[in-house]
Amino acid sequence: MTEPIKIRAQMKGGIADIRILIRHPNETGLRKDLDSGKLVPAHYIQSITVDVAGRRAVEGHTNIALSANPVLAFKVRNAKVGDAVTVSWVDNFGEQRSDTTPLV
Amino acid sequence: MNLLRRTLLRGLTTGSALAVLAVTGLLSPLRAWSAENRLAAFENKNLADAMAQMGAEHSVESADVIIKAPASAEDGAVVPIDAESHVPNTTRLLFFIDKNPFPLAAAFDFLPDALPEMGIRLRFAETSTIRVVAIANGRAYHAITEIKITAGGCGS
Repeated sequence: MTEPIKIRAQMKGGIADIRILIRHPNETGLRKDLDSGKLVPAHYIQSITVDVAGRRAVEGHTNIALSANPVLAFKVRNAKVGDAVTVSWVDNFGEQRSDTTPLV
Repeated sequence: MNLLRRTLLRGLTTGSALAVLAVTGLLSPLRAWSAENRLAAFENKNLADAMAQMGAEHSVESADVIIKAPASAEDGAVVPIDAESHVPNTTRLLFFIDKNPFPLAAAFDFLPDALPEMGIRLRFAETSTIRVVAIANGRAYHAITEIKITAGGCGS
């Protein structure tokens, strides 16, 4: 089960300002479950990509140091209102999610 | 006949040397960054080794790399970090948190349309320096700053 990625993509001064909220626990594998006392397995995002108008703009990799429900921000040139902004992630369980929003 | 053989041999030798250079990453503008290298770097517990695996072992401090982050954070689990590089042709930003169990925290590639700047929220296990390394033209430049954590991030 994955939750939608929140994307806010706005043209500001000729540059696409892209803010992303990914809903994901990003478990470190170092935290104990309070009820069972056992370690909660590591479950974290390993890859994040941002595409604008079908062109790859950013490609990143992360590990357990990424916060839970991380917020990320990027700036992209040569974009225009209406361009599709697609954000995707893949985690260490092989789960993935991709969402798209138009640039406004 | 003999000359042809020699030329062929020389050609072969040069070819092999080039192959070796390509494999070791000396020939490519950017250090080879295969999935295996990257995964190994993310799992490395040693800062210097992880930096070397990401081609940042000879990084020099530069005022053109800028970290905007709080001097202290109550909650190490969510520390907002903004980073940008004014080094021309920056194609990659690397985030190393020195005292985390795995120092390499994030590595982002910026394709030509993307500005080499970003915001991210990272987890700090304890008070630590964070270094952001910008890779430009195969060279590494960094900025460094300390963030005091008053509560733990990992394991809490």
